[in-house]
Formats: sequence, C-alpha cells, structure tokens
Amino acid sequence: MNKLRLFIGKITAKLGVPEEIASDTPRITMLGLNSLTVENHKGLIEYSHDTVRIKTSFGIICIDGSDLLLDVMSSGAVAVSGKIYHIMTAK
Amino acid sequence: MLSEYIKGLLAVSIEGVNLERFINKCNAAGVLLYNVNRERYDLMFCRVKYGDMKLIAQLNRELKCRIKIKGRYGLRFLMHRISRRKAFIVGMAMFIVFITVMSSSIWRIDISGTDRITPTQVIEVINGMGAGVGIFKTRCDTKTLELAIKKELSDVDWVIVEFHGVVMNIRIIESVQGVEREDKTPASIVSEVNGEIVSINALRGDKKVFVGSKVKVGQVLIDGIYDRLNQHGFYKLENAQGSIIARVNYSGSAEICIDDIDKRAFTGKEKTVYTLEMFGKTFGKTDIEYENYTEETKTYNLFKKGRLFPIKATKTVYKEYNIKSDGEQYQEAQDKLLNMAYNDAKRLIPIGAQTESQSIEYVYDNVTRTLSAETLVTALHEIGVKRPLEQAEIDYIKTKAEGTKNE
Repeated sequence: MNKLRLFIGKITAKLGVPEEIASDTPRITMLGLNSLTVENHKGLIEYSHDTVRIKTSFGIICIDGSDLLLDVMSSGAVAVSGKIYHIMTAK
Repeated sequence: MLSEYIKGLLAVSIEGVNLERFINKCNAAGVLLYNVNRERYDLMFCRVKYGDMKLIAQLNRELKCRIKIKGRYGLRFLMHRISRRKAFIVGMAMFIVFITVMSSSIWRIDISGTDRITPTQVIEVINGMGAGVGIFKTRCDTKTLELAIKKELSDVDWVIVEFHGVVMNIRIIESVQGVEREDKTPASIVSEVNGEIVSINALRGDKKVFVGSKVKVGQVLIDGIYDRLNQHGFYKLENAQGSIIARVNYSGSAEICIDDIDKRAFTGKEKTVYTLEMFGKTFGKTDIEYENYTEETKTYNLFKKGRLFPIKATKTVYKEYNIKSDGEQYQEAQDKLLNMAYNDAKRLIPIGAQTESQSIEYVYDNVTRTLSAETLVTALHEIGVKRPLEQAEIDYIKTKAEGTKNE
C-alpha cells in the first residue's frame, strides 16, 4: 500500500498535480500560533481543551495546547483554534 | 457562513460518554459542526445547521446522547421573531429606504489643488453640467464632468472627479505658467492723457519729463532712444520701462428736475388692517388716524367664485408720510446729483486710480425747475503707455552711431 502511495506521489509530482489532491495525504496549515487546519483527515480520536488527536492516513496528529476549540468540523477538514504548544505525529 | 446565518443555526449541548464517536459519525454523515467546545468529559457544545438537526437526531438513536437546543441564531429565527411586529418592519424598511436615498446623493464637494482657479469657478462648471450638492450620484457622470472642467477652465492641466461616500472629491492640477519673455523691442513710454506729473521713476530709458511738468496726450515721457553719447561713448536703443504717476482732471455732469423728486417723506409708521368680505358685507374695517398715507392691499380668495361661501380676506397696509418742503426737495436733488455727476466722471477714470479731490457746482433753472451739476474730479494714476519706436527713428540713431564709430 505504501509502495502504491509512493508511486502515485511520484506520478502526480511529475504531472504537477498537488499531492494532497491526488492522494489522501493530510495537509496541515498553521496560521500564527492560534489557528490550525488539518485537511484530509480520517476522524477525531480525542478532543479536550488541552489535546486534540486526529487520525489521518499517515498516522495520528496530536495537538497539545490550551483552550482548544474545534471551529469547524467537517468530513474534509478540522479547524482548531486556541493556544497551540506542540504538534506531534505518531504512526 | 452568511448562507448558514440566513438558513439558521442552532446552538446545542450534547451529553454522552463517547462524544468523539458522535463527532465522527456526524462527519461521516456529512453534518458540519461549528464552534465545538468540550466543557466536560461528557458534555460538549456546538452549533449545527437548522436543516441538519433531523439527521443528527437519527444518528443519535444508536449513540443515545442527550441533545438539547440552547439557542437559535440566524435570519430565519430573527424574521420569525419580528414577523408579528408590523410597525417595526415598516419602520425598518422606511429607515433602509431613507438611508439608501440619503446616501445616494452628494452632500459635499471637496476641491483640492487649486491656486489660480477659484473653487467657485469649478462649482459653477459642475452646476452647469447638472451636478452639485443634493444631486443623485447616479446622475453625475464623472468622466463627463472631468472633460467639462478641462474644457471650461483653461488653466486645468489634469483633473479627477471621484466619489467617496457622499462626498464628491475633485482633485485638480493646474498648468504651469511659463516665465514671460522680456520685451526687448525698442519703445518709448508716452502719455495717454493730459495731466501734471506727480512722480516719475525711469527704470530703463531716457527720462524726458520731471515732477510738476504738465504733459499732453502722446508726449514722450521716457524715451527709448539715448540721443547722446553715453559714458561708454555710444548711442543706445532701449525698451523704456518705468512708472509715471500724474494728476489728471476728469469732469462729469448730471441734471435732475425737482418735480421728479418724491414729495413723500415716510415717517416709518404703518398700520396693518385685515378685513373679511362675505355676502357683500365687510367686517373688520377701522379708521386710519394718519393725515397722509399710502395703501397696499392684498386680497386672498378663501373659496373660489361661484361656490357656496364666497369669502374674501384682505390685508391692507397703511403707511404714513409727510409732504416735503421745497428746501428738502432741493437738498435731496443736490445729494442725488452729487452721486450722479461723480458716477458720470468715474466712467473715464481708470480702475485703481486714487481720487484726490472733487468739486461740484450747481445751476438751478427756475423756468424748467431743473437742477444741473458739473463736477471736477482730480485723480492720481499711471498715465504711461508704450509706443514702439518707428523704423525711421531706429535707422537715424544707427546711422548716427556708425558715424561716431568712423570718426
């Protein structure tokens, strides 16, 4: 599966198509220190004021902070706001 | 977000043990959650679309969370709340219309960048094009106005007309004036009137008259020819320059018939009487105690002729006056003649001249009862005008100069 993803990634890179559109690679956008958007996620694992854990096709994205709020929660993207201290990834 | 606001949003509280699962199920079903805020482990607040509420209720059958609606937001709920308040809706609509109408017209015109041109000139051009304060902005074509300003005012080099809210901004850049080239044509300064020199200041040229000299029309005051050898030993032709102030007399006359003078001298006392006339009878008549008076009557028809009640209201103003004596009439005629004669003389006096003195003589004709006046006004002003030298004069001085050189 990983080999297939790698292959698709190479082809799309040569065609000039963004990778997150061609495959379901998560795209993490952080604006300042108070706003973060994760696109192409697979669901929410944990959500509290201090921690947000989001499942993606590459693993888990763990966001540590305080007063965390899910601004928008849709099937395509999660927008998190609040004071963000750490962003960690885990397989 | 605007479409969500129009359609309506619900603030809900969700209470349950596995709230992450609830969120994921909503995602899978395509339900969007806004402002998700987890208060406790088992309590969460969020906002959902009004249309998604049914779907959430279906999804919740399996999870068995407790969902409570905490608030309703959006236009849908707002309209529902105010739909019963008809007067409020009418008032709001009128307010919106009022604001729209008021903000669509011009309230002020700001003009910047003018120096030689006055703002009044610019406003006159704009008003001539049918634009101005109080006119709707849609009726004002800025491009046409710009072209009109450029066409009417020759000093305008560049102009832009734009609207900022209710203010019309006109920015102008005036054309740069070039420096006038010095006139070097050989010329003399001659007198344009008869007069007596009060001051003479020759900047260039040969001074021919002095203070106190009496000059005639066409007499050379400052000559452009130096008809003598100067300190360097040659003759010279110049464009004469200087200022010559002279005392010049101007006469004026006027006449007036004594009988043309109004014999009435109004005392300032007046009385207003209102009368009502109906069915051929007049009500409100009063006696006037003045010996001599004038009447000014104004009639108002309260109902038109032929109607059931033909009522007419009249306002009459009585003004008292005294008859003037012959002496008073003569004095008034003299005062009038003084102004008339001075104005007659003033027609010939140049603008900017300083009046030094004025004398007047009255002649009264008993037969025709006519009073005539002759005035003499003495004014001080510039009398010099430039006269280019004739070719013969120039040739003469050149020949003379060459002769001197040969010697």
